[in-house]
Amino acid sequence: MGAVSVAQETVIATAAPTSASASETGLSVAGAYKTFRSAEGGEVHALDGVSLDIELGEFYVLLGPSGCGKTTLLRAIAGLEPLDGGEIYLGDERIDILPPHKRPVNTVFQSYALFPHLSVWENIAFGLRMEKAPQAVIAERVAEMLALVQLSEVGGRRPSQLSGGQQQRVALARALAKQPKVLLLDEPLSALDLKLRRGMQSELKRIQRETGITFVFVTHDQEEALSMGDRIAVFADGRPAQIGTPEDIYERPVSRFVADFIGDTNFIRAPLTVRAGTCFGGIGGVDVPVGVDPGNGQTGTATLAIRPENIFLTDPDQAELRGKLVELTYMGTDLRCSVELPDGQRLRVRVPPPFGQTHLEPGGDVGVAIGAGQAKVVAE
Amino acid sequence: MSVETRPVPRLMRGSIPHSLMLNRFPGLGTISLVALAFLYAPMLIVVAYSFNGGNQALIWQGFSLKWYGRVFTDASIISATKVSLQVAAIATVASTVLAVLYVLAMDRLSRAGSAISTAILAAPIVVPEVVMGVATLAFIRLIGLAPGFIPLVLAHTSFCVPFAMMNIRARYTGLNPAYFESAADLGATHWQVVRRVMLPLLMPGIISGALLAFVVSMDDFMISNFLASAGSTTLPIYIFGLIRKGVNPSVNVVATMLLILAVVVTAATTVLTRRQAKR
Amino acid sequence: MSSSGTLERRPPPDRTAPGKAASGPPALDRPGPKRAGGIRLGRRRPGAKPGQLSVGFAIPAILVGLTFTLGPIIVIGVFSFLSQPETGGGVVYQFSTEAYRHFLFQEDFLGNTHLDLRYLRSFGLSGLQALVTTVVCIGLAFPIALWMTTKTPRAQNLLVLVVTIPFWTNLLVRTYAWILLLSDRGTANSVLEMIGLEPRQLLYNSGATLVGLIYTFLPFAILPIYSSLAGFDFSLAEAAYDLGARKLGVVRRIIWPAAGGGVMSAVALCFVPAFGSFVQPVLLGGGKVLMVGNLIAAQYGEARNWPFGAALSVIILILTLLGAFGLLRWAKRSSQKVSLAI
Repeated sequence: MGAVSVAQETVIATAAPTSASASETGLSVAGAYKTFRSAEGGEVHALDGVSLDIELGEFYVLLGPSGCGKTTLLRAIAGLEPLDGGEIYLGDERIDILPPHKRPVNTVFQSYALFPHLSVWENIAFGLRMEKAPQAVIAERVAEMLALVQLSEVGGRRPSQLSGGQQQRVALARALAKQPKVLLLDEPLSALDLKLRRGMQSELKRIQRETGITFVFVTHDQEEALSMGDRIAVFADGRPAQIGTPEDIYERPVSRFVADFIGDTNFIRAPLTVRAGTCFGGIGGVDVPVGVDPGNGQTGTATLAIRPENIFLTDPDQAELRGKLVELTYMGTDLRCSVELPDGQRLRVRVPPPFGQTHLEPGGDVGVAIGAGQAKVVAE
Repeated sequence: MSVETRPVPRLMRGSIPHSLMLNRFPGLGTISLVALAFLYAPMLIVVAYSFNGGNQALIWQGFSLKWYGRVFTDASIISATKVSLQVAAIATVASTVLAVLYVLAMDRLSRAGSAISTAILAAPIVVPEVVMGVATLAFIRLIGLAPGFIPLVLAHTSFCVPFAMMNIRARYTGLNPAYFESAADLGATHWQVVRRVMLPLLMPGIISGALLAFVVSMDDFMISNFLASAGSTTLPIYIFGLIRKGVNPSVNVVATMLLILAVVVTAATTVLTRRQAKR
Repeated sequence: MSSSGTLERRPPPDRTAPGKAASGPPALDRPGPKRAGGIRLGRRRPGAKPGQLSVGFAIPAILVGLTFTLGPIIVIGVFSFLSQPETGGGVVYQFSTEAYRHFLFQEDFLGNTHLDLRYLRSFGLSGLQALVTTVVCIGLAFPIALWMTTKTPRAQNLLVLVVTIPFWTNLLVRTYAWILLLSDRGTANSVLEMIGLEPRQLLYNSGATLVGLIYTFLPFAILPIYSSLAGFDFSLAEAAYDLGARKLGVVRRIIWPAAGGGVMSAVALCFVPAFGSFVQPVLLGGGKVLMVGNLIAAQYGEARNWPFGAALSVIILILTLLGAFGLLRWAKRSSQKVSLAI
């Protein structure tokens, strides 16, 4: 009992800035549990007490590695996966007890799931036909949707006659045709090649802005999440490890998992000391400020996360912290360096162009400077 | 550059390198062609003789459609064909409907229930026909029915179910469940999902399953032989009687017609399966 | 783990699996008390997935199977332990093991029983015939299936069609074709005459029966073997060549084992129906040699000993079941996929 409440607190605490102002009409998930039986007979906690609030009109991203529960949560919201425990509300209406066809949410499936026996036009009209909308309304809405996704010419074709990108748009149009309160997107871009993907990303953002519909977007691609999301919930092991804006997540990861999953990060073990209310981490014998003293006077060893682009190589003669350059790789847009610190730990460093000014040679000594406030303590 | 110069073994997946296999086993193609000839030559001879103008089955006396004329006016053959078509039509519709309903519900059976019911439904494929025949006769007698049309229909329906089911089931398991989830997601009720999405998508499997059931029913001799009465002689029973007396020009014609049925049904089934694979 | 208390994440809470918690649902102490949700006990009954029908819809098919497939099999089992009426077919409802005794023993006028091997010999002959049929069919089917897989996908599809057509052609038609070929003035004898040989009696012997059986069951053997080979990744064969295997070695060590499941399906699909065959022994063999199929059929026709026919059926069924179990066990042990449907 008590144990569960601790888990809940952790989640709420990380979601702090927005959960307090959770909109009365948004989508909210409370204590969702879902357990699957694995092939070996064990239990897998796909959802392990997930609670989160999604605001109306928000572009909300569920991000995480495969098997972290993000898709299960999406399917639970859609009604395709019954929960073992917990509740889901849309506004003040409890929707987790409704069958999928009665929920005012629609889904864009990873495989698109366009009906092969129906034309593009009929695919988009499907949802409206199910609610027995008048023919005139259907015709008008389908035309509107085709225009929205810029596919007005292909309405008569079969899905199999369309390109992957076009199928994607039809799936989107079909899900939007019913004007859902929330649109769920399950890795919708994963089948597209990189270029098309970029195009669709901005297209999705545009459509979300134009329609004002709440988007819940599942992806395992951190770049996609950062570039598209208003807010991101990073999932690990069936629950959100951190919820926040892209900036929060990238700049202030709460745990090693989040820092590692989002972008490239160095993890350094460092002893902590407190002087004049500031906490310092010792890297290679040099104290680097890591934030304000939490005030409980504790010290010890912590893990520091430092992004490679926040480390600068300087003249070794004038530097406080020195290391040995052990590896140098030319990547075109930058140089990737690996620097060994006196205590044996290694730092990956990204040196931006122009490269000529720094005289770098593998085996040589370099000075290392860490950007102010860029070393952060993260939980293991 | 380096990719282009490297010799890439151009080998289609699912094919043995010709140079390696066929050189070493020059007999492989020969054996196969001879075996295929073995499969077709006898039937082609039957077809050829069906156009024989003579009164004896085995002496070629010029091309003629005489025996087709005779067969198409032969009252016994017509009545036997009628019985076969009636039985096959009813058994096909009934077994296909049963198979569709079963396939759509089978995933909801418990694991054991599904294993047992599948074993029971598939039994007619495995149990020797002669055993199935005498057993059905004994059963029919036990429940107080006399051999005749109704026992024929009942037995045919039951042994057609597994044949109808094979293709429907294959089609069903090949369908992405996301189709039905997305239909429900778009507001389709349970029945609407079944009617508007499931059945249209299953249709190629349903049609080919029904065709196979029809052929199996039309072909059955062994089981029908125990269940038919004088008034409900099926076509296979009738031609068995003719064949038993020796070669017969009428049988050549009937055999040709049945062969055409097999070709049409097999081709149609193949086309339907192929089309569904393309999607 | 560490000494830096708050900076480390708290140890994971000791939670009970919600799906399993049988009693006392842990109340969810959610700080935002807006809608404190309780953890529901147990799983919600999984509803039908979209597109599925409820269990009830499977019942008609199962009922038909129970009534007209399982029912007759049970009846035949019961009949085999009943007595024969004085005259005619049917059974008398009186328990008797006479039918099974009749299989092995005969009673003479004096009431002495002695061993009678006639029926056992029928079983043996049928088994031998089915065995030869099966071996020849598989011996032919394996190279054909292998040859098919060397063709382009288009050609493969066409070849499958070519093999499938005889499969669905009426059994009587296919048997009749051989009568036409083998009869006294039939095609085969005409050919013999043309090349100056004496025509001879080709029909109505066990050779003709065997040819008919092989002809009937060859497609049954080709299709499963082909389908197991068609899904085979032939880069494994390449790897074996690369590792120095000879061609015969590749076939024996790589391709034949890969076809294992298909071969076992083929064995089942050829042997069982060949064992109980009726049409070929009667029409091509002339009914001279008593095979199991004819023996059983005769008990419900001219010989009219229903319990004995039932007992023979039960024996065949048991042999078939044992074979099927053996096959399944073998398949499980060698993790091969054996399918009894085409």
